[in-house]
Amino acid sequence: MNLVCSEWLACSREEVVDALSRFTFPGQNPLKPVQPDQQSFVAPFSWFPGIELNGMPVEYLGAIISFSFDGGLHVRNVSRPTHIFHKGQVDRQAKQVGRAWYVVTHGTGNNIYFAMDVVNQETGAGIFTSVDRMMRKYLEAMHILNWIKGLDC
Amino acid sequence: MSVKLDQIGTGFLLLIIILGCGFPFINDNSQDSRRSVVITIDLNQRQEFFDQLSKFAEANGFTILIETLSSSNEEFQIDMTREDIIIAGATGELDKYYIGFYDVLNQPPAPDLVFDDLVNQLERYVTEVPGTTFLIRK
Repeated sequence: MNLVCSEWLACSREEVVDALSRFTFPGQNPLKPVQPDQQSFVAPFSWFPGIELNGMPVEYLGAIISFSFDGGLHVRNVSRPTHIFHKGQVDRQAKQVGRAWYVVTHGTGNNIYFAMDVVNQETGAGIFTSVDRMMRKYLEAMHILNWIKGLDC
Repeated sequence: MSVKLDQIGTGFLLLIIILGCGFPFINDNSQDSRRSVVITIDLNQRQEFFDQLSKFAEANGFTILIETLSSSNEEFQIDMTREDIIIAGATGELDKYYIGFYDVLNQPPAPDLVFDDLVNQLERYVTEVPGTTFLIRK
């Protein structure tokens, strides 16, 4: 369980839902929050758009579907059957403890993210700890930005 | 005051790093669904629901695969493919299926009318199963 928003920041549920949609999987561009039922293509296959292998676009070897539920507090990444390491799944859930927010990441099945060295463990994968760290920095940066906007200069 | 300026500077720096070049392997390679639906079923009618999905797939020329998720034998994912369109999704909560409709990469996008027709047909098929609700999100 990784801290993504400290007590002193007191992030709102909406802020956390928004941030989780921007930090759903490793390598996601935070400027592009996950849309409902978005299909993503993980590295290294994402680096070869337009190339086909036996008539199938190479990107499908790393195809993952991402969607959120529980009001956006739970995001699920599921490999498609074309994924080279199908089947595997990564669930990320935001949980509030007091005024602080944490994210729990749980992977099952095969390793569907190539840098994810450990599966079947609660937050065992270092790569998701990095994603959570980025999510925390993002939330802190947003709070600082909002604080600056609120200054009466 | 200097502490506040430091905080502001750090904030801006973080923002630039995060939004700009913080991710060494940013993956912009994603595909939004053309249509998105949420189907809620009566868990006692799960097999009937799967039968209807198979009928829909057969009627529209899709190859269908229904299998359990790696996390649970009670949760499933659905994958339907044909030359121009993919329909894929999985359960979130036990009784809810989140399903997206996609163009096949490297193929010309199918017209909206085709997607609308598929969504309507899917609704007709699955709502024949008692206790099923069909929500079009997109």
